[in-house]
Parts: sequence; structure tokens; C-alpha cells
Amino acid sequence: MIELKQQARWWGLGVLFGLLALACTLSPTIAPTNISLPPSPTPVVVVVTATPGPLEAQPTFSPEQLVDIEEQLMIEVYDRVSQAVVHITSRAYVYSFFYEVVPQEGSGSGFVYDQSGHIITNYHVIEGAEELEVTLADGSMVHAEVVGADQYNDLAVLKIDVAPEKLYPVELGSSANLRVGQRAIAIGNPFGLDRTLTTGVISSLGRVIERANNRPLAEVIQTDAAINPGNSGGPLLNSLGQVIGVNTAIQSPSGGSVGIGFAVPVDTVKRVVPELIANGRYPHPWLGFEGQVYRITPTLAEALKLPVEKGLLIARLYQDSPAHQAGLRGADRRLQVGRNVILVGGDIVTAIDDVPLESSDQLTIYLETQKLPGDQVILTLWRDGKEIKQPLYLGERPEE
Amino acid sequence: MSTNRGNIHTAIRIAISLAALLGAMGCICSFPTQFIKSTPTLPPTPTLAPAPTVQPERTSSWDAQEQQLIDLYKRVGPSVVSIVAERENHIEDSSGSGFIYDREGYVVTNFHVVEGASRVIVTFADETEVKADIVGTDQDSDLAVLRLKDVPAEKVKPVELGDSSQVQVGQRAIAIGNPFGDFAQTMTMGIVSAVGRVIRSPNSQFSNAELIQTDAAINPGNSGGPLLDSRGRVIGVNTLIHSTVRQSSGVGLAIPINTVKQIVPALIAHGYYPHPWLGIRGRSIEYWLAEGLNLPVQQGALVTSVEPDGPSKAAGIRGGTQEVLLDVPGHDEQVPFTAGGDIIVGIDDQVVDNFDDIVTYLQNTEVGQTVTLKILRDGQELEINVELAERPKNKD
Repeated sequence: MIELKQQARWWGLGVLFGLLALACTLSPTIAPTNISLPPSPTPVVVVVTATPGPLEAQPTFSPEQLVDIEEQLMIEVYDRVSQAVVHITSRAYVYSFFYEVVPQEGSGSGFVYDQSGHIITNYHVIEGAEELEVTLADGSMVHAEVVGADQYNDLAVLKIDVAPEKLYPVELGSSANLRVGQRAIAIGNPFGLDRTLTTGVISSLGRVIERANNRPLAEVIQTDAAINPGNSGGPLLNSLGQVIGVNTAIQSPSGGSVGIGFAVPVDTVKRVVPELIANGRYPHPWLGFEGQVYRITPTLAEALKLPVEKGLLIARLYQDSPAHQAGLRGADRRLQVGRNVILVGGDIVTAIDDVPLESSDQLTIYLETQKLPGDQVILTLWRDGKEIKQPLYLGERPEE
Repeated sequence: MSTNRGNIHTAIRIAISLAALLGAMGCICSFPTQFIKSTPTLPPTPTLAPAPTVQPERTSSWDAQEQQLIDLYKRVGPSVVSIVAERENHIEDSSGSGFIYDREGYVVTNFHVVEGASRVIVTFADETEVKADIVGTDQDSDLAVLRLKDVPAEKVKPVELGDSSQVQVGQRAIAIGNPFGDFAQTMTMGIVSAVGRVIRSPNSQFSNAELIQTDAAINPGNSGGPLLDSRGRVIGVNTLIHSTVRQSSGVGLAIPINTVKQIVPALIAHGYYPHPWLGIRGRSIEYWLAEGLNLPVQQGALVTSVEPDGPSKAAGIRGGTQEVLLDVPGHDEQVPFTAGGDIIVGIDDQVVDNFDDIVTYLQNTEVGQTVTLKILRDGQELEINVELAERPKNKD
């Protein structure tokens, strides 16, 4: 049996120094020819009408035509949207082993949000950067300032000072109505290769993934379009060329694409980015036991003789968190189950605002998408065999 | 019978060991019970994401081809399951995928997913968990059949089985599975990259024929899940990947569904499948072998040895008689070969150009059936009838 889990990890997609060097070597061959495309008018797109039937119910296209149309669609999306995709170079100065100051460069992708010069990218692309440069589709390189960042959702907004007519903002779609199976198109700078187009399908929706830093990322879009280091911060598009997500992470034992990429959904972008532009930060609601719970399964309920078969068993609470202040209880003892130790005796949370909870992912998504700090929520708890309704006010998740 | 030169020696079983629920929670004991404002350190509970909320149809965001895939996922997804195989020590718990085979609640998966399992838990797309019994396994074909226990009838939605003999290179291939054990109900898409591959399973000394190769992203944990055509019919069972790094490299292999149709009913009825067996070892003839051994033909299968208890021995097929050192392209030193054995050039009505042709032909025969081998011996062509016996168990 091959033990892969331990090797597998989340790879942030920023590219470090060596890969940037690659981009420099390659730039002469890929430079100005493909960057002066005029903005094309609304693209020709085949769209099904109200209730789409199976393919054979549409006799107007031969298979050859369908293939041509599919290619045409990709070409049009690329022509239009690639102009909005930028290459972000971050530079930090670090001390070498000999205490010499050496610049360390990283690179990622981003896209033009509006004609005021706001650029959206991932937080991890700009994390720790002392200088930022943005390379536009026409090859011009400009200095960028960070306007705001949200570590939790891995989003950042930069601002560049460029004439509005040189900027081609993306069109934002919606991530609420996505379907597994629809096309997903990524444009970015994998390994520093500017504005690379890759395509696939949406593989899954609504996952909460855990990144290397233990921060969950809610409701991500999973795609099999090739996403690689350097794609970070670039747009994931639907077949109309609308942004449906920001490419952020990949699952990979080796660091290269294995067909499992993740994007922050655009609805999160639409919620967070205006806050970042206005205030520089986005406040996250916080209970104080997120991520510190066991998911109750029938097996666990049986083993621990719990009163419910579904819910979240609190293991620990953060000191002085809203949950701690409201008197919620973490575990008071350890229990050996087989070769595992489980922290038991804490409160069991079965619902928030009467929405049943079966996984901590559901809790994360509910808080992130429905609530703000200061809002009141009512938790349904089991404690000492009795069900309690516990109101509490959400705090703001502390910075890490 | 394991001479797959140039084939996938490094094919990697997709099953991986994963910490199951209790295993993952075990990590908690290494941290203090109370702590103050620091980064959360617990691993996530290994749960499936909730199904995305379905909004009223908005049809302007996708075209007819996308609609077909969207419909396929909705239709077939509920037939695909995630499987966790628990072992006594819990260290080697593994996860994979499977699919519902029929209305009785039988689930098809890979043998290597459930090998040695003490308990098998099947999780449906809606996160319902059900225990399952292992009904039958076949190590050589890497197939296993589970039976779901106490499952509500409405959850038993069998897949539609396709016909792998009709599969063409270039047609769309869609995988649904549980890559890395963490991403249940993942759909990935590509094309059929090749058909008719003959590859020895890492679990077996025998080769499997007619495997389907695809570039749809297949990763550890996809094992046992269905490979589908664009209509959502199962054309194969995702089983192997060829990769130096144990992850998708765009070369995935699936057991053809026609093999499944042949073996699974026997596993359900008897718990095992008797593979037909000739009892010969040999290799394909290539130009350098034909030259080096001065063979009368450029193609065919050279018998190197005959199993003493096998039916070919009884029928009078001859293996090699002498060791010869030969120059082999790609090798610096001479390589020893067993020469002097019979050359098989045909089986029944089929021409045998290489050893894989025999493996492929036998895949569609049964124990007890008589096949006629057309052989060359001492410059003469002979026809010898062999009654296929039952293949012995793998010698581990």
C-alpha cells in the first residue's frame, strides 16, 4: 500500500526565484506578437435555450461544426479576457547565510478589476513582498501598491496608476449557479509563462479545503484545468469568459498539476473586494471553536455514547473567544479509543440558527457567507444530556 | 506469462493509505488541551463537502456540450461511492472509489482498495455511510465486489454499463471518483488515449488485457471508480496510473467494462472467478530475437517454459531447451534467453503476432474450453489442442 497522504500537501501557487528566471529567458519568444489584440466585441457563443435537450435534439450543428464552435469559443474568450490578466512580480529582501542582502522574487497572476487600476490577486502572491510590479498584457511594467488583503480568503487588491483606456477589466460572473461538468478556463502565468490558457471542467463544488497554514478556504471550485505554480491569483472563467473564481491552490504530491486545482469563488470576491478597497481589510466572524471540533458520526456516537448521531463535538475553545465568554465548554478529559486519544466531555453543537450542522465545513460556510462580526447567532447545544439554546454575539476572528 | 516489455513496469496502484476518521483525530493528542489564541492546529475533520445548493436553472452560462456533462454528473454521481477500507491496525486504512453495479446493492471496486480489509465503509454522494461486506475478489483482474448492508432501496441507483469493445480512441472519457481520499465525487474529463493495452497488475503475476488508457486526471483514490463515456455509461474501472510521482501524469488505465461483466457475476455467485490458463511462459518475438535465435518467423510468441502442472504440458507443448546469450537493443551487456521452445503463431482463428495477443484472446475464453494452438516446431507447423485449465492462485 502506498502511503501518499503524508507527502501530499497544498501547494500555494506563487513561483519563486528560479521560475521567474525561466520567464525572463523565455520572454523574447513570447513577447509582443500576441499582446496587441484589440478588445473584441461580444463573442459569438453558443448558448442553449431555456430547457436544453440532449445533444441530438439540436440538429443544427454537425459534429465538425460543434468542434469548430468549441474552439472558436475558446479563442474568443482568450482574445477578450487575456488582456485583463496581469503578471505580478513580488520582491522581498532577505539576508543570505553571509548576511548579505539578496532580493527574493516571486511571481503570480492577477486580473484587472476596474478602470481605476484595481488588480485582484491572491494574498499569498503578495505576502511578505516589499516591492510589487505588475506587467500588463501590452508588456508595460508598472509599480503596484497593496490596497487591502484578506489572508483568510487568500485575496488581495493592488492598485496601479495607469490610464483607464489601457485597462480592460474582467466581467465578474456568479459562482452561485455553477454546475459540475461545465467548462472551466484558466488564464495565468504558470511557471512564469505569461497568459497561458488551460481548460477543463468544474470537477466539484462547495468543498472546504485546508491549506498548508491550516486556514480553511470555503466553498472552493475544483477544476481539472491544469493549474500550476504561478497561476495563483489568475481568473477561472466560464465559457462566456466571465470570472467565476480566483485560482489559488492545487492538490499535488509533486507541486505540478495533477488535475486537482482550486479557485476561490467569485461570490467571495464580490463580497470581500469592495471592503478591501474601502477599508483595506475584511472582518471575519468568529465563534472561537472553529476547527477544534470532531465531526460526530454514528460510529463515534456509539463509541462515546453520545446523545446524538450528528453534530460537532467541541474539543477546545480559544481563550476569551465569544464561545468561551458565553460559557461553552471544551473537553474535560481524554479517552483512549483504540490507539487514538479523543478529547471528550465538551459541548455538542447540533445547529446554528436552527440550521443543522453535520460538519465543521458547514459551520465555516454559514458564518463566512451569512454573518458578520457583531451579529447574534443561536447555537443548539447538547450538554449533560440536555438540549440548550445558547445565544451569542460573533466576535472578529483575530489576526494570526 | 508476464512479459510486458515496454509496458508499464512502474504502474502504480492508486489505492493509498489514508488516516480514516479516528486516525486523523489521533493527532489531537499531541497538543495541549487548552491553549490561547494561536493558529488552529487540528486537522480538518475528514468530511465531505455538502452538496452545492441547486439554484433555479440559469441557462445562459453554459452551452449544449457543457449541459451534457452537467446532466451526466447529476445522473451518475449518485451511483458513485467512496470506499474506506479499515485494517486491523488502522495504520493501513485506505480509501478508494466504487460504483453501484445492480439493484441488489452490489458495489464494484478494485481488489487493491479492499485487500486485507477488516471493515469496509461505503459513503454515498449525499454523505450517507453504509457498512459493506466483501462478497468476492479477484486479485488477477484487480476487481472486487461488495454488498451494501442495510441500505435504503432508494439509494441503490445502479450505473448503466457500456460496451468496451466499441470504445474508440478520441472519444470523451469522464472519471468520477475520490482522488487522494479527500475529494469525493470529483469529476475529471479527458479522452480515450489508447485501447487494448496489456499490462501486468502490480498485484498479480498475470497480465490483464484490453485496458483502456485515458488522459482524464486519475489520481490515487480514484481506484475502483467508473470511467464513463459521454452518455454516462461505464466503459471501465479506473485502476492504474503510470507515473513517477504517484499522481496523475495524464496516463491512467481502466479495466474494460466487458471484463467486469464477465468476472463480476462469478464473484457475486461464487466469490471468485476461475481464470482460464494455458500454463506457458514466453515472450514476444521481435526482430533482434528472430535474428539472434535464427527463428523462421519475425513475429509470434516464443514459449520459454511450460508449467509442469499445466494443460499445455499435458498437451505436449514444449518449452525452451537451452540458455543463449543475445545482444539486445538498449542493453550494454548480452542478455540470457531460453531458446528452443515452440513458437505460437496462432490461437484458434486468431493470428498471434506477440504474447499479448494470447493474453488478450484468453481473456474471452472459459475454463474447460479447448483452444487450438498453431505452433512452429523444427521448421514444421503443427496444431495442438489444449483444454484450458483453471489458473492457479497467485504465489505471493
